[in-house]
This record gives sequence, C-alpha cells and structure tokens, in this order.
Amino acid sequence: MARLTLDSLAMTYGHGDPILHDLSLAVADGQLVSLLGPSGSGKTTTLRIIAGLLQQTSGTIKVDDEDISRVPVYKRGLSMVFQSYALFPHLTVFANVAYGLKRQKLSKADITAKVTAILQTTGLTDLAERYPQELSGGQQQRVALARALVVDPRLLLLDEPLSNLDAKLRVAMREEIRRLQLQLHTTTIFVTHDQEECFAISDKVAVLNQGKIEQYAAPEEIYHHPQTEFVARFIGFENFLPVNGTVADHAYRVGDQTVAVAGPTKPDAKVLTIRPNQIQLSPDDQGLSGQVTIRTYLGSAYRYTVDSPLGTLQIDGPTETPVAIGAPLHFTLPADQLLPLEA
Amino acid sequence: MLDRHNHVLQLIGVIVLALLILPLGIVVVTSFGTEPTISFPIKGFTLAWYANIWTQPAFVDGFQSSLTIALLASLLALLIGVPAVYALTRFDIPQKAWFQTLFLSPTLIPEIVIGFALYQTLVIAWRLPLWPSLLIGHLLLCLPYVIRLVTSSMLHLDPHIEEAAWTLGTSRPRAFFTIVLPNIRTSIVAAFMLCFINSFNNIPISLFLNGPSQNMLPTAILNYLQNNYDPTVSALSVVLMLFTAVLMLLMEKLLGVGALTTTETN
Amino acid sequence: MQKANRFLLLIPAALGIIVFALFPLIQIAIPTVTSGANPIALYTQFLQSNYDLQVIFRTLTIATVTTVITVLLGLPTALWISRQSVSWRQFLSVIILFPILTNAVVRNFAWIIILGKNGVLNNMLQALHLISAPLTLLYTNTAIVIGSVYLFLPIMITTLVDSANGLNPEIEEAAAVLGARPFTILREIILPQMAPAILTGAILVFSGAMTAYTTPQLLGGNRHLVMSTLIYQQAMTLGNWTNASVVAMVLIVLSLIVLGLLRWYTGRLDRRVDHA
Repeated sequence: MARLTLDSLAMTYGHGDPILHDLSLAVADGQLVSLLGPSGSGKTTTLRIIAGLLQQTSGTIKVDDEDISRVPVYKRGLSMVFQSYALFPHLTVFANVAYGLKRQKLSKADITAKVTAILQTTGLTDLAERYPQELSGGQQQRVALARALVVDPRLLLLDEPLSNLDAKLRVAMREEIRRLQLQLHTTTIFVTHDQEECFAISDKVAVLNQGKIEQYAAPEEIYHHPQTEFVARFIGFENFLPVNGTVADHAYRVGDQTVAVAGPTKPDAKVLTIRPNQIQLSPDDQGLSGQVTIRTYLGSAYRYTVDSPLGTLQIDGPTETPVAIGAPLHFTLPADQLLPLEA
Repeated sequence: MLDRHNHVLQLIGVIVLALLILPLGIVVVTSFGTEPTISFPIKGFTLAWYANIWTQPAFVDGFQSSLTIALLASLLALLIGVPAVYALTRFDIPQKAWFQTLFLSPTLIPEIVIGFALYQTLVIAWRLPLWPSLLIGHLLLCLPYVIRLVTSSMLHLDPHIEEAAWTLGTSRPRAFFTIVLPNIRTSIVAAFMLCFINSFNNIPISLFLNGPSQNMLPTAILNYLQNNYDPTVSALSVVLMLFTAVLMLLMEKLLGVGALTTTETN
Repeated sequence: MQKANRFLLLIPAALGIIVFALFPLIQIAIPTVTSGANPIALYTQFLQSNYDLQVIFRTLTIATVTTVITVLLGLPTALWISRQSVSWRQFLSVIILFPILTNAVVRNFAWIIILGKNGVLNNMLQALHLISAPLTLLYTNTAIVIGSVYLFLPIMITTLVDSANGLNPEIEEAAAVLGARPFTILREIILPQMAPAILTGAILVFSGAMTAYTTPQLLGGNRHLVMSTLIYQQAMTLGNWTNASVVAMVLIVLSLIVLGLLRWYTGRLDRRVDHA
C-alpha cells in the first residue's frame, strides 16, 4: 500500500550497451501497473532493480517518500513472485508461506494466524502440509502468490508469473491475481510480454522498448491510441503506410495516393496505421483495389494479404463471402480509423 | 548475495584450489633438485633423477605390467559387463534386482579385503600364479564401473530404435552392434577410461598379489619409499602426472568438452 | 531370443563375481568362526583387546574428521565454482579432477615432502622463527587426516558442484526478497537443498577414508595403524592370516553399518524431493 516512483533509472552491465535509459515511472497507491514489452526490452531488469536484486547504475527508487535506491534486497519490505515460482523445495506449503513472516520475527501464534488466513483466501488450506513437488503448476502459483502476499508487502512484484501455465489456467489465475490485488489494495508491478494478459488486469500499462518507456497509459488508451509505431505493432496494428507529406489539413500523401483522415493533419506524422479489421471491403467495387496474394482463415474472419497501390496491406473480410487468391479486392480506409503516428 | 562475487566464498574457493595444486607443484619442483635427498626449495637444477627412473628395474617392469593389467582388465570388464547390462536392461529378467546387487557388490567390499581374500584363495589355496590373480583382482575393481556407467546410458537409450531396426529386417545381434553400440559409445569409452585409470593407480588389491617376480608400479613406488628419500620418486611422480594429463586430454578428445567434468569418478 | 540365451549374457559376469569375490570372502571368513573355542571367540577376543579397539577407534575417528573437513571446505568451494561462468567452471572442474586421477602414492608423497622433519612446512616455520625445533608432523594421526582430506576433497567438491549447479537461483532471490540475509540463505535455503548431495559425498568420503590403505601407510607409519594397515600387518608381516581375516570381517561390517545408516538417512531426505 504505497506509491512507487522511479526516477531516471539507468542500467549498464559492465561495458556493454545500456539495458535501461533514463526510465521514469510513477505508480499510484493500490494500482496494478504492467510493464509490457518483448524480451530484452528491460522490463524484468526494471523489476529486479525495484526488488533490489540488481543495482541500478544511476537513478532513484522511492516508495512513498522513502528513497530505497541503495537499501539491500532483504530490507526493502517488498514481495516478488518469480517466473519459476521459486518455492523452497525442502519446505511444506505452510512453511513456504510462513518464511517471510519468520524473517520479520513475528510470534508463532501470529505467524500461524496469518498463514492460515492467506491459505484460506487463496484456497490452499487442504494443501498446507504438502511439499512443492507434490503440487500442480497452478497450485504452486497460488503458493507463490500467498507467500508474497502474506507479509503484507508495500509493493508486490510479479515477474511473468503466468508464463508457465497452460492457456485456460492462465486466464483463471490472472483473474485471481486481480481479485486478490483489489481485495488487499496492494500496489503491484506486473511484468509480461502478453498484451492481452496485461490489458485484462492492469490499471495502467507501460510499454517498454530497448530500455525506454514508449507509452504509459491506461490499457484502453494504449489500445486505441498508440503513440509510436513500436507500440502500435506490439498491440496488433498490422498496416503501416509511410507518409510523404500532407494534403491541405485533411489528408496525407502515401506513395502517389492521397489518403483522407478525420481531424486536422499533423505535419510531423511519419506513418498512418490501421488494424486489419478496421479496413472496410466495398461490395460495389468502389474505393481502392488490390490483388489477394495470401488468404488465411482465422475462424471469425479471413485475413487477406493484398497488393495495393498503397503497398501490401493486411485486410480482414467476412467468412460468408470469401475472395479467391489472385482475385481483386476492393476496399476503403475509413477516415476516422486511420491513426497518424509521429514516431 | 551468494553470487560469484561473494568474497567469503571466493576466498575459501581460492585457498582450497591452491591447497589442491600446490602440493603437486612442490613435487614437480623437487624433481629437479641436485641434493641427494629431497629438499625444497632446490639449490641447483638437474634432470638426473629422470634418467635414474630408467635404472630401476622395479619401476620399468612395474610400469609395463601395470599398463598391461590395466588394459586387459578394462577390456575384459567391458567384454563381460556390457552383455550383462544389455540382458538386464532389455530383457524381462525376474531376478533383475538380485543380479544388479550382485554386480555392484564388489564396491561394498573394501579393496584391501578383496586383495587379501584373493591372495588367500587364488594364490595360497589354488596355487594360481600372481599374474592371472592380479588380472582377476583388477577385473573385480573394474566391473562395477562398467555396470554403472553403461546401465545408465542403456536406460537413457530409447528401446524403440532397436525395435525399428528389427522391423527393417536386422537380426538381433546385428542390431546390437550397428544400432545400440554406437549410441552407448560414450559411456563405454568413459567406463574404459575410468577402469583403466583406477586399475593403473590401484594399490590395495595389487599389494597382496605382487612379489619379487611380479611388480606393479604403484606398489613398487611404495616399496621404494620405505628405503629411499631421493628425488627419483619426485621425477617419477612428474612422469605419472604427465601420464594423467595425457589421459585427461585423450578423454576430452574422445568424449568431447565437458565429458571430463560430468563423468562420475567414484 | 531363447530364455536360456538371456542368462548366457549374464553368466560370465555373475560367475566371475561369485567365484572371485564372494567365494574368496567366504573362504577367509570360515576360519574366523571355526578356529576359536566357539564361533565368536576370535571376535570377542579382538573386540576386548585395548590395542585393537584403539585401531578401530582411530579408523572411525580419522574417517569422521576427514568427512567433516571435506564437507566444510568442499561446500563453499563447490558453491563458488558453481557460480562462475561456464568456461571458468569447466576449467576449475578440470583442476579438481586432475588430483582425483593422479596416483594416490604421488598425492601422499607430496605430503611427506611437506610434513617431514626437514619438510617444507618445518623449514618455513623455522625460517619465520615461529618455531625453534622442527615439529613432529609426519607419522601422526593429524598427518593421516591431512592426507585423507587431500585425497577425498576433490571427490566431495565434484559431488557438491553437480548439486549446486542444479540449484534455481530464483529460490535464493525469493528468500532474499522475503528478508533473508546471505548467511541465512546459505543456512536455511541452500544447505537443505544440497543435503542429499552432502550425504552422497559423505558416503563416498567416509567409506573411502575408512578403508584407504596408502595414506595411513605412508603418512601414519607403523605406530598409527588403522584397520586396513592392520590387516596387511597381520597377514604379511606377522603371518597371522586368521587374525587378518577377523579384522577384515569387522571392517566390512562396520563400513556396511555406516553406509546403511547414511543411506537410510538419505532415503528420508529423498522423500520430500522425489515425490514429483
């Protein structure tokens, strides 16, 4: 239950390239914030620096108003759930969960009461005397979560905690994490490379690329208004049309074509982007025309790869009226769906 | 954290490694000394002690018979051990556990006792010459290595590849030689090397089974040390260390990088 | 394949062990129960002799102390090695392996040079004016322990490095995040996970040190006999073969008891680890 402020974090290993550049982030009390990015983007490094498992090259970390930048890991009073769960294999579920409380030198009675309560909350009561090796992946995940939450941490850090679970369990567990996080009002940092997963449970999402935050906003904002081409690509925009210039205040020049947009044009725009399902097929042979080169069945739609005067485009079409490979396809780009990006 | 930069771990690690290497280093240095008895540090430099090794028939003969016995014992251990392992891992033998215990039982008997018992039975009671008795003793030393290493590699080998060979019209013995053997090659080479080294270095078994007519190198050195304290033994030690180094290089060449460090050594 | 043929493959090895290991063992065991007044007479006589009890006690003490020292030195060394980069780890492992493959006579000989009256250590201490007359270091129980530690430490380290390499570093990090300091992590997280390997190493070192011949022979001399050197002395110096057999039987039984105990304890530890 605390605010987290990262100010100008930088991290370089040895003489190599920097892993993090000047990373700043503010997380409000009780929020769940995701660090989203591909592998190598610096999200796990950031999390490990917050935990104190890595020492940043420069920059500060504050919890509320306390500067913890140089506090050793075992004194930070945070909790972390690891990708491998990192349960202590020689301890029972009960002893695993009790471990952090023991380190805080709580009385035996207090420890028993707290552990019993969190095991109840996480549905682990019946497994208390089992060893980690005797549990399923999902159960191990719950134990890791209970062990992290029972110490009533100022900050909960989750390092890709769902990546070792199968798809169905993943959805159930992420909802469980969100439920517990809201119930206990624990400020939480969640590291993931899965955008669906993080959009589902986050208050805010920070998209990381090469050690920098590209965008930090609510999931809805990121989904609809990505600010950079990297963010747009990462969250499912497939079409990127390079812009040569503007035409008055309502259209851009793409190749030798003119593409109209809603609202005033931005003089610095570099690309126009649109999702495959936002491009409209025109049944009456109106608009632009291209040739289908690849057709993929997605279940709910066909995705066509189309050679068009604007370049190669990904366009979704209805399953009722398939277009054959090699056949022409007519489409329009809705002006209000096209998104100009400046970077 | 207890990572590679932890100073306490590093300090102990470096001291322990130094303690493992330094004594052997001292032996190397003393082998070049000019004093008639071993001294350290040395006062002058000579290679005379290396030449002196060859003037000692016990060492020269001992090296020859140790080499012969080690090679023969390792080969024999493979010859009778590999078929036994194959039978145990591929056939449904009801007394499997019983056989496995039997094959590993020599490891439970202290080597000095094996030597003594063989001396009593083979040499005294059966009046067998020393040479075959030594070979038998070293064979007993080697067999458990073969059983252990080859069993673990047979258990890791997919039994279906052999079945695939049969369905392609290969006879069972032929499938063993063309399909199974190439796939357990590494463990066989490793077992051979371990057998060879342990047989070559063995003392307790050879102790009872050698005599004036039948020297083994390690026991010859032991006897020499009873009466002499000159750098000949240092020089011979250096030769043996070089021999070990060559064997290690050979193992690495035959088994690949890393095999050295993962092979079970006891 | 015919059923009989399956056994044909087993027969050479089985017969070899029965005829050349088990039968000779029984051969030397028989006189120990037939030549006394009653079957256990020779054993009670052996176990009532102060001198022989001293040998047993010395044997067990040396093996125990050696095992404890190899664990204490081997554990930090193994942890240190396992935390190096892969190429360093391989290099260090080769350094550890080299003494294992080097002849035990050579390795003990090195300590004769170091511990002797005019040995390296005495010379050094005298040169530093820490002692005025040479210390008696060689031909003592301490010398046997030093030699045994030198002989078996690499085996302990190799066993422990294998286990330490398998540790998940995130488990230690999890303990650190929950408030455990480095030494607490070592004691409460690393040691319990490595306990089975420590026991495996202890079994190897204890049984090796207990039955070793070369080290007590070269570094202990005639006045510090252990059971293996006693067997040789009884048989070859004194020609008392039956007595040698009695010592051999006691040595086998003692080593089986110790091994059995350690294995039983290892089995109890395995219960929590191998349930997967």
